[in-house]
This record gives sequence, structure tokens and C-alpha cells, in this order.
Amino acid sequence: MNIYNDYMDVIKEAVNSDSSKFINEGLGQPTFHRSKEQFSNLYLKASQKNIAPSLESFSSKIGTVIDYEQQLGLHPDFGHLKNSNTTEEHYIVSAFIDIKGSTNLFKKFDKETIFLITNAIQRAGIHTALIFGGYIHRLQGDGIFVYFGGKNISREKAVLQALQAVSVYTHFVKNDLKEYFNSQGIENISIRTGIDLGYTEDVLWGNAGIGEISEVTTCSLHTSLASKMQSSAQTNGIVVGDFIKSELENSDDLFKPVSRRTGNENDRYIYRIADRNFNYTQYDFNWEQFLKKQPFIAVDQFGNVIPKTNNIVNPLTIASLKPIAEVSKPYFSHD
Amino acid sequence: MTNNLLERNISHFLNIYPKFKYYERPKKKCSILKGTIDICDVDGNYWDSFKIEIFIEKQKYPYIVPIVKETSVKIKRDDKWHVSEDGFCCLDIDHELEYNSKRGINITSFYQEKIYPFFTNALYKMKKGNYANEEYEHHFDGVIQFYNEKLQLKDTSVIVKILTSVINNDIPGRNQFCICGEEIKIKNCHLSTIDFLKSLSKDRIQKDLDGFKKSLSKELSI
Repeated sequence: MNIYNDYMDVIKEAVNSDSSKFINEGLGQPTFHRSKEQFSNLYLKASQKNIAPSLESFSSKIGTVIDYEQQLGLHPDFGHLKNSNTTEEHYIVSAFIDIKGSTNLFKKFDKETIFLITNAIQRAGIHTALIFGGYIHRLQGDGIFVYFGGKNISREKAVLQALQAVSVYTHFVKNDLKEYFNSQGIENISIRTGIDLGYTEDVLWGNAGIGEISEVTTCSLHTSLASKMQSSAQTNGIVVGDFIKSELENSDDLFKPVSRRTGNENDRYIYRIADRNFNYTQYDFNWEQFLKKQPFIAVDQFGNVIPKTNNIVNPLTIASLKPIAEVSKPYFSHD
Repeated sequence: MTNNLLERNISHFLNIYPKFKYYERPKKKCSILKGTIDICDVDGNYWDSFKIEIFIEKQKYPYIVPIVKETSVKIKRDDKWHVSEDGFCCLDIDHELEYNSKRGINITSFYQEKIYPFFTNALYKMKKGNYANEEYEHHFDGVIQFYNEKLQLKDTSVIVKILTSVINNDIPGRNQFCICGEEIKIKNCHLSTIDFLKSLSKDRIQKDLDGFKKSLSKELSI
């Protein structure tokens, strides 16, 4: 996906200036390290607040107004609950996104390189969530905990945006990131996500903690289940709860019970309350199929996912159509 | 009667291109794939989309030529644009399409090799004013061009000889001299061309033969 090129460039620069490169190329010469200035410059790039131009060309097509002023643990629609004794019920979509296998990076790179890489990956994830109207609730290691939805957005739209955001980001990790790391001899970098929807009557918003050691958060079975389902997901997979499936109309073919993949009927339900006859199913979400159906995605000649952009970063050139076009030679006859 | 190969091929196609939907139409001869074709270039940039319908003759699949209709009306309905008033598209010269159908097509390959390039070429023409690889002349002149370019047959009298042999099923053995009159074994001369022509329908060969005979008599009268 060209849209993540700027993020990949930071990662590539970090890798290229890693001390291991100097050791290998030095052949007994004194070992060089990345200068402090070099590191600072890269760090600045890796942690830029605003969306990078390559991703901006995509986000401008989506049209969401991006809120850069978000604060962790303080969803803007529930900010009034901070350090108060009141609570509120309101639906929310919770998404837990985790990058797996980044520990493998320590086998190859120095801590500064890894710091830059993980920052760039996380920044790409944060920006992707923001594009689709997500609110970043918490950062957990390499992972991100995002809420979708709020007071002025329908439940259905919040579910749709959550699925869109994690599908785009999963595609980035599964393809761009993985391909590059494989070329560097790093394998098994992957992503796993769990998403669930809690209805208004099942979600309590309130202040947790004390004073400044606090956050406005949700108390809900379905937030907990999202985290739990993340660990049920396969490599580069997304697992969602039954309530998510219910919000996406005419899309049953995109959801398959996890038990069908594992062959173990115990995996069908992520949570059960026997005496209430509550059996909550977890589903593998076919995000690749879903992504290809989205209006902001094009599917190329061979079925690859191509994000639609405003082409400011990559202007269109007719010469790039020619290799495909010239295969065709039309003919006309009245017969 | 269910065509299992068609079902498998359609399922594979829809898996790759989920922007299409399949309409089986049990009482009709043709089923239809309806959807959007997104034109992207070799650099991975998206350009434009067309809405299309692909008609598939169910019982005969894979031995068919899918019919393609452009329904978004973005391409001019004009013979210069190879789209009929109803939106039906002339994807390629009939000989190539018929040859492919005789061998059996796969709907995914057909989409990638014929349909996708056709619409990319139409878009190319919209932007540039001409097709990327020109086009066949219209009517029988296009057939002559096809014999010249694709089959490497330029001499009308040789073409007539070859077509006559094909229609009479009077082809020499592999190690005998070629029909064209060169003293070369046919296997080293026009055998592959003859094999191509043999796979076409008798009607097609007869029509071409009539056309070339007419050309030959014109040439001789000049």
C-alpha cells in the first residue's frame, strides 16, 4: 500500500543506520554508531503528530475530520466524567490491536533502531484509527486500545469504521511491513485484533483511579471480551463478537465461528453464562474480502488491494497504464 | 443441470473480485456477473472505475466467449470506441476469442487477460486520444490485418491455399512439404498456423476464405 510509504521510509532509515550495519561493513574497522543528531532527526520523523503526506492523500478521500487533540484515557464525549463521581451508560466499540513478534527485532537491531521502528508502526496505527474516527484510549507496548463511537455517531457507523480501520492497518502489517522485515531476515512480525460492541445498557463510563492517576474508561463485559478475542485471533487475523456481526447487514459470509478454524467446539463461544443461557459467539472476520468491498479501496487487475488517493503525492502518469492497455487490441465488425 | 466447473470458477473469481455479484438466473441461458472494474496502473495507482456485466452461457462453460456489457455509460457508444449502442464491447478479434473458447476459458483468466486490458485501453484512449496498441481495422480489413500480424501470412494466394486445405481437411503429413509452396517440411513452416485455423469453426474459415478469394480476384484484376 503506497499510503504507508512515509512510515516505511522512517523504518528503513532506522534499519539502514543501525549499528549492526556499521559493524558488518566495517570489517575490523572502528565501530560507528548513529550520531545523536541522526537519531533526533529520525525520532522527530517517527513521532510526528500529523498524518504523513502519503497517508494524508488517502485520508482526504475518506473525509473524516481528524482530532489531533485527543488525550489518552479521556474520550472527548465523556470528558466531563473525569474525577467526578458520576457515571453514564453509552454504547462503545472496543478494539485491541497488538503487534506480535517485535521482540525478534532485538536479535538484529540496537535499542535505538527498535525504538524508532516501534514508534513508526504505532504512529501508523494511531493515524489509521484517527482517519476512521477512532479514539485512542490506551497504548500498551506495541499495542493500541481504540474506542470507536461516541455521542454523535450511530452504533452501525462506529462498527463499520472500526472494521475499516483495523482492516486497513492489518493489510499494512501483513504486507508492507512483513515484506520489508522478511527482506531483513526478521520473520514472524504479525498483528492480531479483537473487536466487540457493548450496547448502551451494558457499558458504564466513569472515572477509574485517583486524581491524575486516573482515566475515563468503560466497565463492560464487551470491552473485556475484545481483549480476550484478540488472543483468539490467528496470525494477521481479526476476531469479533456476535454483536459486531449483527451490525453489519448482508455480510454473514464475512464471519465464521472461530471453532470452524480450530476444529474445537469449545472455541465457538468466547463467553458463556450457563444459568442465563448467554452464549456469546466469537467470529473470524474475513477482513481481506471486506476491505476489497469498501468504496475507498480499488481492486486491481490481479485482485490486489489499492487504496484510492488524491494522487498529490503520486501523480498519475499515462505511461503507467500502457503496459496493461497495450495487451488489448479491439476489433469492430457489423457481422 | 449444474455446471460444477462454472460454480468452482465463479467462486474463485468472487473471492478475488468481491465487488462483483453473481446472478445465476435459473431460467435463462446466461448467468451474469455484475460489478465494478477498478482500473489501476502498474505503479499501484487507482484511475477510474466502470460498471460492467459479464454474460456467461452456463451449460457450455468453459467452451464459451463471455459477452461483456458496459453499463456505466462512460465509454462512448460508437464503433470507434468498440462499444455498441446497447453497451456491448468488442474485446478482441473474433478469431482469438473463438480460439480461446474452443480450448476452454477460465473466467478469472479471461477477466485478467481480455476484459481488464480492454477497459484499461479505453481509459488510455480517453486520456491520450488513441489506443495503446492501435486497433484492428474495421470489418474484413481487420481480418486481413490479423492474418498478417498474428499469423504472419501476408500473401493472399498462400492464405487462400491454406484455408482451402483446412476446409477440405487436406493437410500434408508433418514431414511433407508445406502447402504454401516453399520446399520446407510443413512442421518447420506453417503447421502451427494451420493448427490454429483448424481449431476455428468451419463457418469462420469459409467466411475468411470467401473474403480472401474476393481480395485475390481484386488483386489479380488490378
